[in-house]
Amino acid sequence: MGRLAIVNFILNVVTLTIYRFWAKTNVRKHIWSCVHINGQPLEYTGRGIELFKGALIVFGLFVLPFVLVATFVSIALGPEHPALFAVYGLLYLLIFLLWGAALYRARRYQLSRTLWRGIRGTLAGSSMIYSLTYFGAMLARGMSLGWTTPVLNTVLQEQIIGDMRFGDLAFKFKGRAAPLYPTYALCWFLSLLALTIFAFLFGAEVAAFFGPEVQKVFDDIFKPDSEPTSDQIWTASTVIAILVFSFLAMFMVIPMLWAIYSAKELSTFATYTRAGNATFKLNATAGSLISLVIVNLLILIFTLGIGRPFIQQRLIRYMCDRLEVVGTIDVDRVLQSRAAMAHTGEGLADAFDLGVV
Amino acid sequence: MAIEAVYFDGETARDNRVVVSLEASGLQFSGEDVPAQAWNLSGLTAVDPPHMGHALRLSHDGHAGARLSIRNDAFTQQLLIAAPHLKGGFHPKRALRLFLWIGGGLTILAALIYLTLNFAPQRLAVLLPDAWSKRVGEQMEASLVQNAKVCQTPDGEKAIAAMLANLADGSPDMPPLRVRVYDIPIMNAFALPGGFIVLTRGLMREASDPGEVAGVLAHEVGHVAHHHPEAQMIRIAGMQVLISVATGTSGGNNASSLAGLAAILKSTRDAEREADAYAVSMLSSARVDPMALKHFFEKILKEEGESSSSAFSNLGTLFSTHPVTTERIEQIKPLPAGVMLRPALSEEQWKDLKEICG
Ligand SMILES: [Zn+2]
Repeated sequence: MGRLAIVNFILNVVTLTIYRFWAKTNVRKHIWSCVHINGQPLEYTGRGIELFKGALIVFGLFVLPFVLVATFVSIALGPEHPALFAVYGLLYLLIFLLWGAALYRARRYQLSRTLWRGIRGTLAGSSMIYSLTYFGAMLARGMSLGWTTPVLNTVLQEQIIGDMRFGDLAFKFKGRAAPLYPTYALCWFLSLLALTIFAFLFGAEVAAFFGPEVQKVFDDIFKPDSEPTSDQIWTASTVIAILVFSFLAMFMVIPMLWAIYSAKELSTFATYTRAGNATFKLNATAGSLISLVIVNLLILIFTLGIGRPFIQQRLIRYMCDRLEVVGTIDVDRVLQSRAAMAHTGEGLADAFDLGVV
Repeated sequence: MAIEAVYFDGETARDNRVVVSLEASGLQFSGEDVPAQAWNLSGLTAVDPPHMGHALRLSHDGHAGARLSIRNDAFTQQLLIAAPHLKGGFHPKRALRLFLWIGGGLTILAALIYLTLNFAPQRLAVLLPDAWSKRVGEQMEASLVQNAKVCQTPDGEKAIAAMLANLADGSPDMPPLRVRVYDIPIMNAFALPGGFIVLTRGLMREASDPGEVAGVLAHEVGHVAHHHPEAQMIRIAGMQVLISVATGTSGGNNASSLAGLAAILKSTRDAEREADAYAVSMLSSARVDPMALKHFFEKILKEEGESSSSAFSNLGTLFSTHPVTTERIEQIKPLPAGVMLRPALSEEQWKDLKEICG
């Protein structure tokens, strides 16, 4: 895995990131093989070229036309014309509308390239319907200050799991969002509290920073050919250190609080899921999730991003190690999926990931 | 040697026990519900690279979806000797195909960049409707001069008109222009899309002779005639959208920011050469001495050369937008001895022009 990560990184750089499709594929092949469900390993059958073609198609049908239209408008009407903002606004809207579809289609591609016991999975529904639901959910979530999140997540999960197939075996998802609410409320109020505290700290910090004394220290230090005293350097570095620390703390603490809810949601959703006679149990806890996230973050920082494959592996391992299948799937009666296999995949997801606008 | 293995037929999820043996023809196996069959060695592929102590999963060309899982190190070793390609490693054919695809991708990328930067702009610029370039040129002139006031005196404007008329003498195809002098201290001159030309008070101050201003003006007219500002505008607009798409930044377009403007105003070397050639031929037809322009360039080169170390200002003192080089200066030759030269402006008009900004 280490060698894979480094080779992928080098080839990505050399090819101006075009190799990323093959890199992704190699990493998945490796991770999938390491995952065993009831003693049988998974197999990833996707190919880099499928991802590359998917990205090319989206580039040709989506990115390039946008570039041409935006350039055309900016030349025809001038760079400051309101129509140009309308074009960009339309693009944003389109991206939000298609975001769910990108997720859904990427998931479908991955399932159709995943074999367990020689049988592949799929998503049998429509990505556009999911996308509209997803878009509506984003709007509703924003308008309710987040309070509809448990309901919306349940609805979305029901839709996507309900579409999921392993061969001809359908998954089912049934359950209410109500049990998620106590945990959600806890996280919501805790993060409100945390934000308030940080706002105070930050305000005090900024006041100190722009206070006359500290300001003077900074002015002196940044004067050309200044020779700051050790006192001045000490003051300046303390101020900067506190500033950086409070920022970092905020970015760490808030996600950590929400890990409590994520753990609750993951394990609840697992119990809502069925496949044939089998039900699922996911032993996710806030503590384990937090340490997973923190260690992943540290890996990412200390390997300068080269270690990204390890992070994906750790995420999938986490799920598989803690996922328990209760009851049995009657494997003799599961037939191969008859769903057509797309020849390309994940184009939209790749485009959004790259940050098209 | 015959061993037990697990077989998935790719039709159901069920695992079948089979007995496998390695024969000359390949892997032969059969089981209770699995009819006897043979997989030839050359068609075999290992799902993962073989690892001793782990099951070796095999697939076969002719049986898409079927998998054979062998968990017997001794057997696996024998098989690897008979079919070494299962060990994985470097595949020249696959590597070549990968190389071709990625090479193709990079070529498309390079072609796109070339199209955006070099090929398309000059060709599209000619096709641009006048109304479009005028609209954009007006917007650009406004953001360029910020709140500097335009210098307008009746006599000064008459002097500009006279200079244009003198230059047009002998060049009937001179494009329509609007020339304005702005109260900007730095010495510069710009040609904008739509035939808008901006001169600065700094230029009027530096010029010691109407021929010098006429030369600079003719050079800017050359840019207009060759549609350079329009081409540069298309180039920058295309590049900005490409960058915004690639990096995910954007939102608004910042062509009107100073950095964007500076990029638009900065001419390419080829454009400078074309504008110089146009200027020299225009001056010759008008019988205005091109040596004045030459002297002016020399003066600038000298001053710029001395001050270039501190050239960090936004729009740059001037000819940073029309880089003056010795090569350009050498291209300007005097008119043949017999030609009757005439001044670009009369003494009176030159005085009016000099004083246009008060
Ligand atoms: Zn020029």
